[in-house]
Amino acid sequence: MDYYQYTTEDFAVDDYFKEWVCTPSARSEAFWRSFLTDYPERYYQVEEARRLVVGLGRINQEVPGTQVNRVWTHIEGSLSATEREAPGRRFARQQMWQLAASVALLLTLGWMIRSYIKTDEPQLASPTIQHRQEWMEAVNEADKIMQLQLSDGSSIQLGKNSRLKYPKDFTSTTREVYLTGEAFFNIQKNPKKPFLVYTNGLVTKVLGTSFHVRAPLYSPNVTVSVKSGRVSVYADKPNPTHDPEASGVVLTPNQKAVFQRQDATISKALVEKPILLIPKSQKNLFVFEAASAHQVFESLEKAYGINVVFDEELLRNCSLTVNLTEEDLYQKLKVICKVLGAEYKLIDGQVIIYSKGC
Amino acid sequence: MLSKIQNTSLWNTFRQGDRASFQRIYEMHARELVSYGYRITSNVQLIEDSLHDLFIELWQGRENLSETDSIKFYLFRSLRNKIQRAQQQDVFYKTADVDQMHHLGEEDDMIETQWIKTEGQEQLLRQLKAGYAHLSPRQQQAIDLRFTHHFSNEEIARIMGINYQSACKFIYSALKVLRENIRILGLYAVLFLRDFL
Repeated sequence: MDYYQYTTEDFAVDDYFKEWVCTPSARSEAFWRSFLTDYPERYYQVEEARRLVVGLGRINQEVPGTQVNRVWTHIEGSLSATEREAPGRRFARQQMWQLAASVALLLTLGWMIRSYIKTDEPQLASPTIQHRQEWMEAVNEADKIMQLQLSDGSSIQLGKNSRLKYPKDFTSTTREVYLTGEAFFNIQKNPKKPFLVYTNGLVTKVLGTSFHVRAPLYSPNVTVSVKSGRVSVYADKPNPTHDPEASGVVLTPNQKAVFQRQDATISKALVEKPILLIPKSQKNLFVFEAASAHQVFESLEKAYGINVVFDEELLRNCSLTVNLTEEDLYQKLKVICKVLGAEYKLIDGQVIIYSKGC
Repeated sequence: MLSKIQNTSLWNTFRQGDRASFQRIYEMHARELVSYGYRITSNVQLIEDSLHDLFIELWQGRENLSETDSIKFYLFRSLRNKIQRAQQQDVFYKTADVDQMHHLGEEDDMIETQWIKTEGQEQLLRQLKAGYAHLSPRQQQAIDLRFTHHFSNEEIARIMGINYQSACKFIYSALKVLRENIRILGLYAVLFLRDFL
């Protein structure tokens, strides 16, 4: 390579030269050092070119991060909006196609079909800039929980490393927010405007209740745990023929739903630490004296809002005398089963009792 | 910076529908895309709308995308096409055109890098900016693609929609102007020195 003949401009446009200036390696460093040692009279050109390359790389002002973050918020908003509309649109286009095809067939104007195909190439659904709401984003990078208050009076505790996007004002017919990470929601009741939380392909819909959502960015699943009220959970998979909510699950307090993103399945389970749904004063509900199995399980159902399935016929002759005031749900079940000589399993958010009778 | 292989795998997971990869691609390139957008138009709204539309279409059309070894190149070219198409079609966007803009000036010094504060380099940058302001918009664009965004001349030609020779010419002629701008003072120094002796 005849770098000796090079002018300042030649050096500045040379790839190898630019690479040395921007990202020097031991090899390029050695090469250009030795070039300058051999031809010190070219120093001026090399230095000038180096200054050009360095200076031009920094001539542009940096774009503030806030600007690109704002655009990203719009992108996410538009995507979730179009994703829920898109299938219907695709469906309509298909119908139009069938119509176009049959008309074309009738007329046997082959060339016309071709021109139709041309104009209807897979056009991407035009983004919905027009119905932009003003979106806010809360990002919690601190080591403690962040308290948020939404315009509808709902309060949210945003976990660490989590972010929540929400409209400044809930102007549309539903209240929609987007969560990455973890948060506890205490939603103001408004039956006219359901509250929807979008997370990693799962929709959690409520009218007014409190619940917890855990959806870490790279996690394969999303967990929704309910503290009070009723919550409907379903996959974010729009379907023109049937309501996606119909194939979801409804959760009641002390239940949780685990959504597997991979196969979009939702399973129901009990939360790890079920809480008492009755006032503390009614604790003596768990003091049993010669109580029937039916009575015992019924009080569990009532206190924890769960469903206990057992064979009433088999357990008809069983009775218990036990005080279970302090124990949590699982400890209570353990004790009860031990006394009854039974076993329990948790299936689909229900307690199933297996027993051979007394 | 990611390696070529990492870039390819990021692109592939995105094409398979991974939202996190999609976001990563956005985060990696959004700033430089906006920066490049300013070279084509001074209309901020147009740049932001184009960036928005570009990524929406990217996501929605991901299944039809082919493998690419340069995501960055693909994005730059798409953004430019988008902005240009919008400018041609929409009268509203036409109003603020690149020709009347002088983007670089005193008011731009808000985000100064540590680098500029080093003595001498501050002067160099001032001289370069003065020269840069004399370049045609297309020259500025080519210079940016080359020295800020590190594209090859061939990629620059394809991004700008011109032939290879023109791209080389834009860059070379621009460098000539810039070099003369930074040289004048150097020359003075030499003359001064000779007078002194």
